[in-house]
Amino acid sequence: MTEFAMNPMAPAGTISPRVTLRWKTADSHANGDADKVSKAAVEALRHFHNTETAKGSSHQQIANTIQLLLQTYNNPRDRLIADRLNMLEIDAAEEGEDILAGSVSQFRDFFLMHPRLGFPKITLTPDGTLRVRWIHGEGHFFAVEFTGKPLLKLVAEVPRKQGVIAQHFSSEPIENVVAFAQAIGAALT
Amino acid sequence: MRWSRILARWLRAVGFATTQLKPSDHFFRHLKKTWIDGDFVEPAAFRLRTKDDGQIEKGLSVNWVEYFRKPTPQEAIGALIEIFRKKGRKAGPESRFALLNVGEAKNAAAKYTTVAVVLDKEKDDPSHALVTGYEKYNDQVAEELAKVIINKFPPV
Repeated sequence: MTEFAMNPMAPAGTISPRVTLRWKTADSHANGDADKVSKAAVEALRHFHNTETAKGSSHQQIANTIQLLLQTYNNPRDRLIADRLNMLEIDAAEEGEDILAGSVSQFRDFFLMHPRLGFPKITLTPDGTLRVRWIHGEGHFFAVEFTGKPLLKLVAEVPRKQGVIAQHFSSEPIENVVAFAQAIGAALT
Repeated sequence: MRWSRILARWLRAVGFATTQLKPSDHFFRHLKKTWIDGDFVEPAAFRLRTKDDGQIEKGLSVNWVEYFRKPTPQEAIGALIEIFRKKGRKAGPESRFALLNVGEAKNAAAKYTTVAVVLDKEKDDPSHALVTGYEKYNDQVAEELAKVIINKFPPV
């Protein structure tokens, strides 16, 4: 079972039986259970992308992202992410910083499509993009920067044998991020 | 040797040469609240920014701690905040000043490239300095600099 497996806490009645998989990641293909991708997320995102707010300002994007995070699965991780995003928006406004709308929409899509990933550190970069990082200790992390562009920026440090730490600086399309992390032995929990 | 020193001093005086901070010196990097999550400091805080014209900024903006001639770095923060205020820069109560040692920062960056920490005095900020020379390794050096933060101080 991958992180795409249907979350038992998904609200009833939100899943259309006709919803088909639109995002297939390398890992789900490899495991042969691509059809188990969260239909709730697909439905929620399809509905969202059909609305005008999908192309709105970063404030609209954040408001709608929070709403989707709270409604789609209603799990503890997504509530924490929603809280953190809300706080970041308030803090960014206080600091006079902008949050890129394109970065927010990638962030939203990524977490809705991966409900089993852990709750990461979430920060804003000086460039206005959202960045997340799963930290497991010194020399052991995986970071994703939602650039708002076709390629997301990835940074990882993964311990190998005899105290050696492998470092990765890379970029991948959003649908390849989890597969990339798995391939290099990084954990997103 | 003596003449070369005199020449270097003259070049610095007329603005043709830079004053590098000593390896034993320290600098502050101001961290906005949004660049921090608990104890974690976003390494992108040490990344050189791309300006609106597409050019990468010439160096990372930092402040030379020893300029303030205080017994401890923490005691320099009050004076630095006053400089920030005069420059029209905000240091929110939940922002932090990350303290780094010049030598350690240069060593950390040396994994990828050679960086310099040079004094870049401004009219209203004589402690202003720049970390320069890592445009080609922006993400990599930023990661390494974040690892050598000695301490983080709140604005007082």
